[in-house]
Amino acid sequence: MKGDILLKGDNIKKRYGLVEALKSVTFTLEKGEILGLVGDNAAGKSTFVKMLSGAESFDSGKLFINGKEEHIHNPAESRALGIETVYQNFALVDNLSVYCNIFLGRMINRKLLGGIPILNKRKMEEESFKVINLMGIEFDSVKRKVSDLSGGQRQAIAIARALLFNPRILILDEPTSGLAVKEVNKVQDIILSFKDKGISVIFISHRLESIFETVDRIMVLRSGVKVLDEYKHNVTSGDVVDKMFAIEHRR
Amino acid sequence: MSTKSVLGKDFRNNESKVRFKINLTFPSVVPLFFIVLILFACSAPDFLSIMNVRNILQHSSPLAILALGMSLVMLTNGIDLSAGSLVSIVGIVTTILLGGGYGRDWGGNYGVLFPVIVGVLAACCLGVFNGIIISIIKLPPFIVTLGTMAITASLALVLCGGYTQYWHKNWLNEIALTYLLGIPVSFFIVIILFVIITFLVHCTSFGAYVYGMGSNEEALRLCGVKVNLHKTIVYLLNGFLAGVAGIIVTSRIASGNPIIGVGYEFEAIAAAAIGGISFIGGVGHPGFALLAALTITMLTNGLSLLGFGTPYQYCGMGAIFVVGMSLNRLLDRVMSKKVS
Repeated sequence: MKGDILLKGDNIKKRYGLVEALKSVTFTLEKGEILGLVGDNAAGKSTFVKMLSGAESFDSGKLFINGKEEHIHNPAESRALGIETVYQNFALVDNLSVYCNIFLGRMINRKLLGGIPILNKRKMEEESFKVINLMGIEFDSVKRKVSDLSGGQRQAIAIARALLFNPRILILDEPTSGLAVKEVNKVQDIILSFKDKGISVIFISHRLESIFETVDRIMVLRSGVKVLDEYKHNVTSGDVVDKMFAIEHRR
Repeated sequence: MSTKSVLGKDFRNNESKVRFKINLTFPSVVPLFFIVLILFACSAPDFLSIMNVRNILQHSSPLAILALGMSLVMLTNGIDLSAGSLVSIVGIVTTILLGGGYGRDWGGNYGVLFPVIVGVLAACCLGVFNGIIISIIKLPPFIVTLGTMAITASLALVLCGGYTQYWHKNWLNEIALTYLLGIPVSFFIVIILFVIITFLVHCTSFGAYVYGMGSNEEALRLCGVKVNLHKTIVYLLNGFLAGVAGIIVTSRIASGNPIIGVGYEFEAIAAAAIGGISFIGGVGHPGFALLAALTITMLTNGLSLLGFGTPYQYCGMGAIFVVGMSLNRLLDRVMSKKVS
């Protein structure tokens, strides 16, 4: 698969004190492509996600979206550029309703007495229910508090939140961790459906099986360095493991 | 939009069941209010007389307003130990600008409204100061407001030279003494503020974020919510409410007393906590804190009618705090079992 490049990172560096979390990482993401990002613990995956989602800024390097250089300083700017992130811990607020979580940071308001902005709860409920339905997830009420939901339902809410605003790029950080096999398959189906909608996906997972079943291309990070970037039909899971743990060097 | 989900379940039917489940929870202040009411209605003569009920409403007003502010702060997982000191400093600043005595007159004839506004603004500024240090420097609210409490209390004493300040009679005295439809004006102010705060927490995105801050601040941040700004606004609102409470107290005592606010912070925290506002944030409704403020005032008033002085009233307040919190914990357990 070779298509238009939607996202490009050029020599991205990030340092936390003495630790270099990302060392001159250059990468690309094509339109409608699913890129699998893998690596062992402390490989730099989380830093990579935080940088694109605006939770952290990188120290040096350039980021291009559709060929235009962009600067992301906070999550709001990242979202404004069409980048949505589903975090490993889902980033949900337990004591708020499902629809409030879906619209977190982007609540819909209506005007009271011609000027006072108040929450348009009905609209948010309907939109939330619509997006959850589109995903084909079993769900009874969007007024339910998130604290009452199962792991799979929480995952669905986190993905629904990312989908609602028609993202160009979707980052999924370990979306299948902690899920039952049936739920993992469901999430994988959902990810594959994004491709048909033209959404580019960066899929981070420890499960190589999930990665190979879902992605078009695999990128491996090790200690902050990109050590592999190949289309999946050119590599085996053994190759990926070798790169993740530097087994080739020991041989 | 269709109300049928892809699995054929009816969306709206389920919505009503969920609403019923959520509405099951209420804090201990509801039974406590009625227990205290019945207890003193039976034992204290004149407890339910019109004059005493007015007295209770009047005296509960500053505490109710402080409890509303404290509720907002506690919903964000914060606390404000400086609320009492803010009440004192508002009184002192206002009184001095009104021409208070002991050589502390800052000169000029500012009328009445200007000193009142400056007094409230002073409390707002201190609230913003608390908010900025807590949200940007990331110091624990307990530490920051403890410092502000000491600074403000000291400032109040310095400004008035340690003496109570008096002013010539004007309309400010009337706030505490006037009745509208038989109800003290100060309690009308409480009702107006309660409606505004309820509107803010239930009908605006700001309210949702206030609850969110008490549960998962990081999630809000990752979703692009300006957490620091919202938290600072919460402390600003708390400062404003403390300012209004300060004006009502000043009006009632017709003077500026540098130590009048001492202890108010404890009472406001107790009212919020008995009212079901969680100390770790995110749970509760400011309306119940208002009811708790009324309950505490009824308790001290009832004890006073029965001839028990201030030391006993403090003891009663402490007891109702512990009983209220224990009941809250028990009710929580019972409700969570019912819901599950």
